[in-house]
Amino acid sequence: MLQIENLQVEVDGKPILRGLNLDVPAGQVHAIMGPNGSGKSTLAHVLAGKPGYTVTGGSVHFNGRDLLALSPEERAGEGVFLAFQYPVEIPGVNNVYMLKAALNGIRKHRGLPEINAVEFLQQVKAKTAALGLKESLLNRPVNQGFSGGEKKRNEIFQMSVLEPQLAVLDETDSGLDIDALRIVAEGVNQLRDPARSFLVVTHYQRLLDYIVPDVVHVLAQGRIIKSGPRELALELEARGYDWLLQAVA
Amino acid sequence: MDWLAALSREFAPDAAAPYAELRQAALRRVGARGLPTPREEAWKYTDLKPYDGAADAARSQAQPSPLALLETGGPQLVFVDGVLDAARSSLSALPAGVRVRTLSQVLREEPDAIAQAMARYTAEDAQIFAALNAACARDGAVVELAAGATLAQPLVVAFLNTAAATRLFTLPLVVVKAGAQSALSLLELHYGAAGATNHSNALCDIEADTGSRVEHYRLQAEASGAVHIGNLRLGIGRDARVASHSLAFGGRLARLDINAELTAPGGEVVLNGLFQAGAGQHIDHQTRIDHAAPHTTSHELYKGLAGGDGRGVFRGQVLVRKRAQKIAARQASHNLLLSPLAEIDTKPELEIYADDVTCAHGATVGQLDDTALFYLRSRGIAEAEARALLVFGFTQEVVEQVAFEPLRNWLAETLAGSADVPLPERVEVAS
Repeated sequence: MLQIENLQVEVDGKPILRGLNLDVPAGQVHAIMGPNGSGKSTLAHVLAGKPGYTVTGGSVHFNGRDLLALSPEERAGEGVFLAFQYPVEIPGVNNVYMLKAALNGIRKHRGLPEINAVEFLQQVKAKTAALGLKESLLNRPVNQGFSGGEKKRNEIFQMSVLEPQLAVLDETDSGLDIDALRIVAEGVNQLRDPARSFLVVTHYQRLLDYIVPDVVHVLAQGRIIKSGPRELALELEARGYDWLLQAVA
Repeated sequence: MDWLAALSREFAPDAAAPYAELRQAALRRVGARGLPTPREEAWKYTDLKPYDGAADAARSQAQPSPLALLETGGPQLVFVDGVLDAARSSLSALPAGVRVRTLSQVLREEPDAIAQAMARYTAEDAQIFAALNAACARDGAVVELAAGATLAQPLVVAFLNTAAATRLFTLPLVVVKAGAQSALSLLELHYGAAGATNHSNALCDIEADTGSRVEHYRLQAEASGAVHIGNLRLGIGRDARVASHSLAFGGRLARLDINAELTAPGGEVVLNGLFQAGAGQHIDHQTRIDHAAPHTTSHELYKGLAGGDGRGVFRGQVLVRKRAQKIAARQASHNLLLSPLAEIDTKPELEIYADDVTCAHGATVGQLDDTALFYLRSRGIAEAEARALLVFGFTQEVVEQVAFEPLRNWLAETLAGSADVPLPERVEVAS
């Protein structure tokens, strides 16, 4: 589903990703771990098409399409979703209004008619309930006045409504207490599906106790330096990253 | 073009009519003074040269039409090119204690009903355009509410301008007297059809007596070839509350001066504003809130948008006099530039002479937040729509304060469509 080959990315002339290779087949959950500054968030942003990053080499294909040639909205239309590390507050635009615009944007990209308003509201209400989100948050401006946990849950809620094929979770666990973490993870697990893949970017293995990955990758100095089964995350938790970095150096 | 000659020719005060002497003297003073120049603080950012320049009717575009607001079935007075359109006006449903007359009728029947306003604006220190209006206005509306009277459904006073106008100037005058404990909602509408090149000089004077409630909406949607200069005065008595919403979208040159006078304890004023200056437009608001009495409150929120090479100006003066203890004043001016060529100047001016007061103010000029734009796009919303959504969101704080639903809906539609206007190409400066 997602194939990244030799990806090289710069920010302000400074190389951040230096030849990254990654293959995520459909239906799998891949975790990306790594020390601070290793390029984890850059990878998440580049996949979603955030401006400000210069791709200097390599390729990213999503279901065979050149992802890097698409605008952020086209990538969403193709089925890519990024759950932000810091979800953005948008004053004056209510949550459900934004979601409807998003869903219709995606449907338009796929040549589908706009969604029926009643049907949309029913879907949305069912999904708020499933994530334990208060319905009142639907009519509040996007993320404004939300607690940290509510913001992260709102990201997962948006994901559940937009039903992406590839969900990139950028440090979704940061700033969450253990209860909020469990709720967010349950939300993600409910969406696991043979046709849907997840790329879970995280600093701590704690999240992976709840969202169990198929493969764990270690990203350091802009490259994947090691990949392994779930147990790799536990080893990293116990031993840190230094032994790996030394082995590479 | 000599604007004063045109004005004097079209609107020479009739020597036999009421207030002839006052009006002639006011017009002479205006003529002797001449137009203000940018050297004067109040006109620093607004050059009045277009006032004297020729307009291009072919390029005068209309704003989205607000004429549906004249179909709500409520009481209304409609003027077209300065003349009453009786067929579209309807005052049959006015409740007891509410009296609405045209200015021309009042001048014929009961000139004393506007004596205070006439004295105020023909005085030597009156602002030049207010004086000009008072000297020359032929028609408009006089609204009087007896003590305790209530007009819940908004009264619409509409001044429509067309390309067929034979006169250059229109001089709408609206005088409102809200008696003690009365309640009034009023929409003052200025609209220009495509091709209109009118010079509007509008004056509105609202006097709110003890305990009264006034909701005043002012929608300025002149055509893009028009010049619109307005003056609004709010006199706010004991325990009275006046909210005035200025929604300004039209004109190549548009200016509104608001003077709110809190003259007795318990008075409260809300100034709520939204302006949008597109390509070729200059929209200027100058507001002045005078806390002349203790225990008075003011809330002011202005939001400005400028696109193309549009230019916006906001100057917010708040004066707290020495005797005005225990007052609260809050002012905010937030502005958004939608193109690299747009400009907005905002200038809060607080003058505080009392020591036991609560005052707060804030002013910002910014651009659409790139992170927010990316957030929306990453959800599948196309860039143009995402921009429109952010602009719409930016204005909501002002729009939500508009209680008159048809107007609020019109605003929402107009604003949702507004950022679709293509932005000019980014100018590359060769190094």
